[in-house]
Amino acid sequence: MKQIYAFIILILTTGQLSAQMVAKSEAGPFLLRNATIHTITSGDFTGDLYIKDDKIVQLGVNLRPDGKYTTIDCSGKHIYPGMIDAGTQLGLSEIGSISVTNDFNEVGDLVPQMQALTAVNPNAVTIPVTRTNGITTALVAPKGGRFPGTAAVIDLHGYTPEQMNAGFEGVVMNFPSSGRRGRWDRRSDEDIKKDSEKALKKLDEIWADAVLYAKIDSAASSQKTQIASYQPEMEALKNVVNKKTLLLVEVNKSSDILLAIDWIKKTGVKAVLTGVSEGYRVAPKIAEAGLAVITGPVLDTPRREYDKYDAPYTNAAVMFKAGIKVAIRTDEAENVRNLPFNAGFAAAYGLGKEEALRAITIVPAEILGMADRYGSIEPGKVANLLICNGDPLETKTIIDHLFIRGWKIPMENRHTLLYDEFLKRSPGLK
Amino acid sequence: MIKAINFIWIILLTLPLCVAQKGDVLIKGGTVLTISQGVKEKTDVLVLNGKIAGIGKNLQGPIGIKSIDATGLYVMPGIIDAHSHIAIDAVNEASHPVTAEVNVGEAIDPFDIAVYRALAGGVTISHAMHGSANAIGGQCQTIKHRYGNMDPETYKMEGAPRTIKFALGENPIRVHGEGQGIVPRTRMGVEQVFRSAFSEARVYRKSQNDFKSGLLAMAPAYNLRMETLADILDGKILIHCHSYRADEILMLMNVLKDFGVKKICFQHVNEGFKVAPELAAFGASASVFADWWAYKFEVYYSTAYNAAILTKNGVVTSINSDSDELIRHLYHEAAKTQKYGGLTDDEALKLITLNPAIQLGIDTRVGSLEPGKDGDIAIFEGHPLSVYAIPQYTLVDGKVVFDRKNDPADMRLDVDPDEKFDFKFYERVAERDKCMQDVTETLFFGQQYHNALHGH
Amino acid sequence: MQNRRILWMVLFVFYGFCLKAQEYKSGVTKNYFIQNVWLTTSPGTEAVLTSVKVRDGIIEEIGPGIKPGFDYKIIKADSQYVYAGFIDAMSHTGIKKEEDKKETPKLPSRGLANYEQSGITPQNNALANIKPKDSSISDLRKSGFVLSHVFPRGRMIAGNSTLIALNDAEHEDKLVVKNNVAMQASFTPANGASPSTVIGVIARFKEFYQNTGLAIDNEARFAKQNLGHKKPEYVEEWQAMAPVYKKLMPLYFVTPKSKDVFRAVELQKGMGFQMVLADVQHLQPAIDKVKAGGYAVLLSPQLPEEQKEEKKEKGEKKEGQANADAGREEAGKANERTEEEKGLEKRKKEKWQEYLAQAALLEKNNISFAFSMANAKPADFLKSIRAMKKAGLSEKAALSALTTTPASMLQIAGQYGTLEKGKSASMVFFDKAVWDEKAIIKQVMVDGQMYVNEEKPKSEGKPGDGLKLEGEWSYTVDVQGQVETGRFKFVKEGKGYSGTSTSDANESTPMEDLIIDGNKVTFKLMINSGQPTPVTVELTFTNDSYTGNATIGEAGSFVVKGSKTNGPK
Repeated sequence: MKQIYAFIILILTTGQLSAQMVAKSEAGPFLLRNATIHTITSGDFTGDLYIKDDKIVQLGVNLRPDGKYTTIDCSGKHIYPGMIDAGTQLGLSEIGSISVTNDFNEVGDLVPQMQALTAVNPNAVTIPVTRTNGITTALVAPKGGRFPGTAAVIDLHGYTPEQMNAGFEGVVMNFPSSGRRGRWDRRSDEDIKKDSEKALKKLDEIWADAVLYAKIDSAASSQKTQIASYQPEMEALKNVVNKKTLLLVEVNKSSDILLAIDWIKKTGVKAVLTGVSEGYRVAPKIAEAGLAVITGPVLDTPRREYDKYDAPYTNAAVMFKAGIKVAIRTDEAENVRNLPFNAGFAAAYGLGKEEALRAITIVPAEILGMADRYGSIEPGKVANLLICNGDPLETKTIIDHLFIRGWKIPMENRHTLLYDEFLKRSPGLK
Repeated sequence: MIKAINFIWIILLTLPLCVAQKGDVLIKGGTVLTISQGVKEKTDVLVLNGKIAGIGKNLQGPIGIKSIDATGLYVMPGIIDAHSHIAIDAVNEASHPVTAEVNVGEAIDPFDIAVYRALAGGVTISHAMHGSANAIGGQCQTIKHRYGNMDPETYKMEGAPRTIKFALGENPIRVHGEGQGIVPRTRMGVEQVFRSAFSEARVYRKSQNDFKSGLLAMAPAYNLRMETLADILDGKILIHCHSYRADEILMLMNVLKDFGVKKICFQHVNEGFKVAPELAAFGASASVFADWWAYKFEVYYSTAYNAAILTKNGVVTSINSDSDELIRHLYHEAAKTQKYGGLTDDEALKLITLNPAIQLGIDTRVGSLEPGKDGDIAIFEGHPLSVYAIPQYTLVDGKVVFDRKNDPADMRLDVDPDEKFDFKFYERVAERDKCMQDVTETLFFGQQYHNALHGH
Repeated sequence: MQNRRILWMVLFVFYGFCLKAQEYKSGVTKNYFIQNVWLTTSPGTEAVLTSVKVRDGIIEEIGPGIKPGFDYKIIKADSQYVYAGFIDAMSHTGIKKEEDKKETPKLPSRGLANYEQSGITPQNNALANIKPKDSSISDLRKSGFVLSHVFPRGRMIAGNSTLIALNDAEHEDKLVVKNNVAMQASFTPANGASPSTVIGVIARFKEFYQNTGLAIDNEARFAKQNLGHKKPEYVEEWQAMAPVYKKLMPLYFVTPKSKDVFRAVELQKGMGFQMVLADVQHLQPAIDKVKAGGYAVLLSPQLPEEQKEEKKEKGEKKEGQANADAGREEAGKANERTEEEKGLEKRKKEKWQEYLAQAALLEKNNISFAFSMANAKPADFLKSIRAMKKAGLSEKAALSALTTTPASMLQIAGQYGTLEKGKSASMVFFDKAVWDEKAIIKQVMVDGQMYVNEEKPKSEGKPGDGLKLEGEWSYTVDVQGQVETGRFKFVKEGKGYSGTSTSDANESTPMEDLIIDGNKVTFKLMINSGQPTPVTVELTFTNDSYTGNATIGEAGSFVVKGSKTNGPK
């Protein structure tokens, strides 16, 4: 009798599922049982993890929380914190070659007031494709001119940008480059030099204005009056000048990195270096300046013909060993899903698995000032985590379950749906 | 650095020898991934005069033979990339929708550092392809990565069948229809470009034959384009067709059926999974990206499971790079098919060895480790499908051309005596479609368009 | 008093009769007697002190004891070194470079571009494009050349050549030694049409060449007057290319780098034309194939810049530039001279050496080679050849490459290339032996016409720190009581200075042999009052004034004084 009852339930449930068609995320609480839990910050252990609302509430062995919850047996499985990609255009770009679907590059050289969060498309096809590979959180950054806009951090689940907002703002600056802009750049050496010198001068002019604006603004507010000429771009730089907002300084060529370090010292801003593809050439200088680095992609070609072939693979390790805090990014839009593999290559080429994993979890959280809520498995932190069958950096590892802010996320996306539909096509040939 | 200089000089000094010489080597005690005959633990591979002479236990080579201790390492056939644009000075002769007469093999660049970097990723052979600007592009060249030789001819793989590039969809439409206002501006137009070119070639071949048989008194003008097209119709050239959408893939198969052409490998073929049964029935093969998608509209409805679906439907499938970057870790790209579709180790490794060899018509020579085949070998620390795998040695014709332990930084063969090296830094720019290289630079778009496209 | 007056006139009035650059002195006779020169007959022979008789452009007699006839102009070239005039084996002398069109022409919408659009213009002939007054003719001659093998400017198949003598002439026809000598090809793509790439060029070349052959065959068939033979298609380009196809005319393939050489060799092997590898900068990797193919080579003497660039840059920067630059410099220094950079510099230098050693490599491999001036600066070319000599090229081979080898290639060895009785009186005069680093060309004779090289006003040394020489200075000279005034002007030219002396009557003459040593300045003025008289001036500067003396011929020495009137103080 019991068996028949169970059978009926099974039929009903299956029917329900197929009628529902669209998989939706499920709310908790959840008890994840018997998993090998990799906390990142306090070692590994086998036990249980309890999620309630959007938080990790409890870690331990044989947990028995009060109230109702869904239990997931994780025997033989591993739990890791969700990965954080600290540099992407995720949700800002739908189709690379179609400019009207790209929302990361606004007109103008000085547009720090542009907010990446505004243009994030919560329903971008790329988002489920990304998160099912274990990336739960991403920094989305504008690209383009000297100050292309303000970056945000989003969790990869939600129906509005506000729901996804993880509460970070950082102004992006592209430090003047004395490199060539790809193989099409046919400027003479002299022109490149002149251009970058001009750009440096211009940057100093902008900065002098920003400092002046901030000064006038604080004087005005202390006298409780409105600043006379409201300038949105200066308004956006104000908090960078006041060291409240992080400046993300994109810089790659070794000599430019040194100049950027000087510039940061000179202006005293709170900054992190991003890109830093030639960090290995000047690593001691970066370490000495006490600057953190968000580097990547690791899967990249060397920037000079005479570079060692594996320079991009070993870069993170060289910087880490010089004492720099290093996070790894993809700088991608549709293939942010390759973040674990970027970390994997860095791991193989000197960084080591443990540190590589840290470079896409706790380290970016620390750099972005979010380590109190993100980047590791600790009670009280946001429940962003993944359950998988092995090493999360290893290519063939399968992620079984994913949680973002306590929601259990369906493991499907356009790619899996097309697989399900077309693996055994019906009708076939006839 | 001094080491580097010495190494370069050694290469330079031994140059004339390199051209003809093939290597002898004994690779001892590795885990041999033969591809065709399974995995053999603690096994030796003996290469004599550039060819595999034996695979087995306790093999002995001639006295003094170079030996590589592969204990704890993985030995696999050299990786083959069925779609790349490295080592050539010209990619797109974009001046006409049909340019069958050109041949990238005539513009090999033996100095391209990308070749060495590919070797450092275990890739020993690549298919240097014409670009995708034209419906019928130029002929391609299968090259062996004999880096260190400065004679372009030494790169050509002897006896490799002739191949030619075709292209469907957005690229020829953009270049010719939108760029020049000529057919094709639609996928309908693309079909007719093939049909009229083939028909014209038939007429041409007939008039040539008429002259040979004396029916025509005066020699008709020689047309290299028509000669090449006629060779395609005669089955003398393998077609490799840049394609994305299911409908256009079916279209080309129909055209080929009508003209009696049997051999085709579809390149990229992001929607190949939708027509896998049709591809299998035609006998067409597919060479795909592991996970590239969404960089243009015709790849928006893609899936990273493409290779798995095609493989499981019986289509001979390979994973290619089409990129200086991806070509350095095709072993990792192949591994993605284990995540996306659960292919076995053998199935995954075939995607970058035997299957591309079949697609290039060189599978009797390379693509697996078997006695008699070329000594093109990649040796890895860690299983090549692991993200932690590190290529240690790469051999072409039994000669070590990459050795991680003896790998100085500056591996360029040619140096510009006027260069200022501080200005040789290139910022990273998104490189999505190398197939379109040279197009923007040439006549069609002019400098303004070029600037707009490249953001400066 | 009268004496003083004459002296004065000598000094300052009869200016302007000084030597002018390359002025051809049309004489009353075409016969010359060149006295007491060190003459090198042909490469590899010792120079001998001898005299040469030239009659109507031809060497009449050579010998130490010979005497001029009554109708000979005597040229005192005592102790000058004379060689056969140099032959430029390929260039565009006399043909102006066309500006590249800014707008790319629209491509025909169907089919291939026509031959002209594709850059196939074998029917173009150099002669029609040569401008006889173009300065490139005299520039090349000043550097010791007597003949230039001129090709029209163009692309894939640029056209056929004219061998010209580097004379001054009113009409280009007067320059011609022979016409339709060779054809030039290159891998240059078309401008805004197909072929747009090197692969397109190669394909188009093959097809064009094949059709040239078919046209020849069809013509032969038609000539038999059989029934059923339609008249063959007449295409100007096929006609013009026919001599190349028939191996009656060599094809000069422009191949600057080894990759070009390899590509040209492949084409040649497939088609069998007679090939010369032209304007080669670097072919070292291809040397075996070049040797095996038996190709002649025309090297470009335009060598890469010597490794001075970076040093110079640093030197300049010391003078102080924008802050940004200082910052970048600082940044550069931090990783300056790393092991990596040292290695890179070393490789660069080695490569530079390789370029230099190419001529020696060709010599060692017994490959026939000459020089192509197509992309070389005539003024630098001797310096380049001397550098090649240092890198192992023998003197004999170097001189052959400039004289006998190109003469043979151009099939004029009977008339040019050596200095022998009956050959053209085309020769170059040096003040020292040609391989002496300091040797300069004094005059050049082309087919019996003499051209004298003006000695450029030049200076040596540099002023001391306190002396700002540049600008105008007044002068006052007391010639035995007669006071005359005027001004000296010094101008900075590159690293050195040049100067002029101008009298108050506004007659000026250039300073020669200007030597500056700290606050001491010496120079010569050449004045002419019937016969040339040298004036040597020695001045000592203190701040903004100077004193000194002027020695006028054998008349004596007189006091000169003056001060700064204009320019930086």
